[in-house]
Amino acid sequence: MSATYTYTYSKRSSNKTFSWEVLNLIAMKCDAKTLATASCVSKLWASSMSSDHLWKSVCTTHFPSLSNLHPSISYRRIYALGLASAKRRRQPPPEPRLSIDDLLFAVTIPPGKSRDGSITILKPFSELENHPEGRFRFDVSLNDVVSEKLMVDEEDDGDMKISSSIVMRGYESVFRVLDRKGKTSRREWWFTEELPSAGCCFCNGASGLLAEITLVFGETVVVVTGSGTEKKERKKKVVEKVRIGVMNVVSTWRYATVDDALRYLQHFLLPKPAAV
Amino acid sequence: MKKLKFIGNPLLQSREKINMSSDKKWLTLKTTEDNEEFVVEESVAIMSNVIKNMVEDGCASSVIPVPRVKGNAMGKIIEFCKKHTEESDEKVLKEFDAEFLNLGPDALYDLMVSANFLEIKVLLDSVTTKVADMIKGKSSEEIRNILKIENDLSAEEIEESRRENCWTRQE
Repeated sequence: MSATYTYTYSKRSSNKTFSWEVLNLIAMKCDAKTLATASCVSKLWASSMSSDHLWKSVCTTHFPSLSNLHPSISYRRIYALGLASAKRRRQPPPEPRLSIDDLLFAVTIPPGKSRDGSITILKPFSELENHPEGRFRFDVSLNDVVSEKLMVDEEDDGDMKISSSIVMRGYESVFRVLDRKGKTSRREWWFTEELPSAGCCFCNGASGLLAEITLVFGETVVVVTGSGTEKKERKKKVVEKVRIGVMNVVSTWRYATVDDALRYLQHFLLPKPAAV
Repeated sequence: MKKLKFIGNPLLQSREKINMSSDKKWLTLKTTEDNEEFVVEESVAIMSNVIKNMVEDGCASSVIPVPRVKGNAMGKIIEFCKKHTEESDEKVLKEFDAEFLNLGPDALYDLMVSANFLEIKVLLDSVTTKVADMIKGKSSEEIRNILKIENDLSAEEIEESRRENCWTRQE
């Protein structure tokens, strides 16, 4: 048997006093955001919902490292600080002030033992073939640039030294990428250099970026030199493309995004912002 | 069956028709504010820690006076405790609680205060959770409207708390 009581209550004034005890019990069930909003309800609620012991557990859960700042500041304040700090850390860097359309790629391949004359390529990045995922890696097809095939082999050209720069449109400034001998392998020859720190944060130290110039080969041809008994047959590789890339080498080796590379280059190519 | 004699309270008289087994103990709770009496099984009544202690310490006579709790609230509380002693299925209890707590702020407030005073943990938990859920995600103005609270903060206090809590608005 159960007798159900219907609750009837007389009209009360709206000045109901929530006792501190009752408020405390409700507050313990609330999350940080609700506590903060509830502090703006009335005087009693303000003092109750700001009570340090309530905020203590929230703080030590979310921001354990900051909780040691108590009791110089209240736990409630620590929580607000922790939240603001987390938000700042998540903030992405600003848009680069440089555009890829402002830049030209310059690379010089020197003469070799069996080759006269160096080859210099100077082309806007906007005309180069870009990495499929939009990373900073651009290819220039040699067919578009030179009339004759560029052929290399290890014997003649193994100690080749490549020079490359990135030029600001209008020749306002230049960033030297590398002047280097490289490593060779069957499929590609690559030339790398660690890029210097941009100088905005550190005096010494690496930027964590690596510049890379690669000769990408296409077909292999057999070249015959000499005649008669001095006939020599040499296998030579035809350079199909020259590639420039900027890699992030801190934790994983990956091509940097175009924006990241531009933010780096702007330190060297754009005039320094005027001091305020 | 023993014929029990009851004087006065009509509620008690109706129990004559019930087949009372002798191994069930019954208590009478009397709300001293409005002199209402409630007969409940001891097993139900001891959901209140306060009453449980009284019974265990042997200071509970046949009628237990209960101050500070109004008759209305007492009735509701007994209904709650009864259900929770009878039913063990979690799901059924959850549904019951949801329906049971479908009350206005005044009623919830009284329940909370009474459950706190009588130390009925299960009921207190349920009601406070319900109220916390009611205010969750609401603005301070909405909270005042829902729970019928007057805003007694001065203009400076309002401004100050706005500044302190502005992070709640930036998510």
